[in-house]
Amino acid sequence: MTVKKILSKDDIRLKINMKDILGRNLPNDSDVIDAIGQKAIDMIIERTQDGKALNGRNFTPKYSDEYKASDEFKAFGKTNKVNMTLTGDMLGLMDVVKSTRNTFDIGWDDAEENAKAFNHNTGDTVHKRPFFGLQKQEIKQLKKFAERLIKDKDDE
Amino acid sequence: MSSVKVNITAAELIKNMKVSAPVLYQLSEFWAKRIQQFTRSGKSLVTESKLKPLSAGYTKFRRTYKGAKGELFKPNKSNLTFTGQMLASLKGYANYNTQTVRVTPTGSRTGGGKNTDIAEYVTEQGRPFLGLDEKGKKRMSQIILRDIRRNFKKRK
Repeated sequence: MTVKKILSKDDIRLKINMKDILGRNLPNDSDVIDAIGQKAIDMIIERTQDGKALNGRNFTPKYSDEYKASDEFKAFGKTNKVNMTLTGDMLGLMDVVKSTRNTFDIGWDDAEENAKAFNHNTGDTVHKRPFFGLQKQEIKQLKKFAERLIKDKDDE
Repeated sequence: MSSVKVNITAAELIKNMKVSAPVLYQLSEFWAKRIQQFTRSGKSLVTESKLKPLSAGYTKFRRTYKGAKGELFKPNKSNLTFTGQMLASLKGYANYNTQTVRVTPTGSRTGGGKNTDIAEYVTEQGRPFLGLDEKGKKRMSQIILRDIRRNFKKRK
């Protein structure tokens, strides 16, 4: 499977197989797979902070009046845009937690942020606002990015 | 005399790696903003817990005070915000040669005195706020790592 998602309280991660996406092996260089992993993380964060859920639509529901009136909401300078960012720690600590020559896993080494991401994506204890994953279009972009990296590597 | 500035070397975050000047600058900005936001919400990054509550007498004084107050001022809220000048004055600095970033209050106050004096006073009064929590350190390490991954071709 090209992209597999694991959603559990202890372990939420995306397992991405670049060999399946590209139809070939990546160069045997850990920097290449880490750069592709980072690109995937950047795409998820950019979309999420732009207020778009995994399905490409704006996150729902909107923030409650009670939350908007809270001290934290004001202290962290939030706006009405729902973007899964208060302290920024959840998105800021999303990481490539494992990689091989052709595969990488995106997730959290931090148990608290892992649990937070689980809650938001499943609606376990808060409103369900799924953001963790890659859209078809994002997988295409990732493929293009990887092909460019490989070409550059071949040209070296 | 208590410290009114905090600094950290890049080596404490990432071993054996020289961090670029723009990333050091980014770290200093991130750190200053983190201290501002968490302190305004009432949490200390030094103790990683709520700031010491205000005394009953001081709360009473704040309730009756008619002068200019900061946006996040609340009479009974311990968040080092009265006029808001001290936290607003926090500035991050980066030094490429020493691979160090630091955060310190800056400038004079409209009513006289310096913001560093106020920072020193509140720290001595049991409300230390110039520091970096463990998650903040992780975030800063992540900022460096992400830059390395995004720019690995430049390093070769």
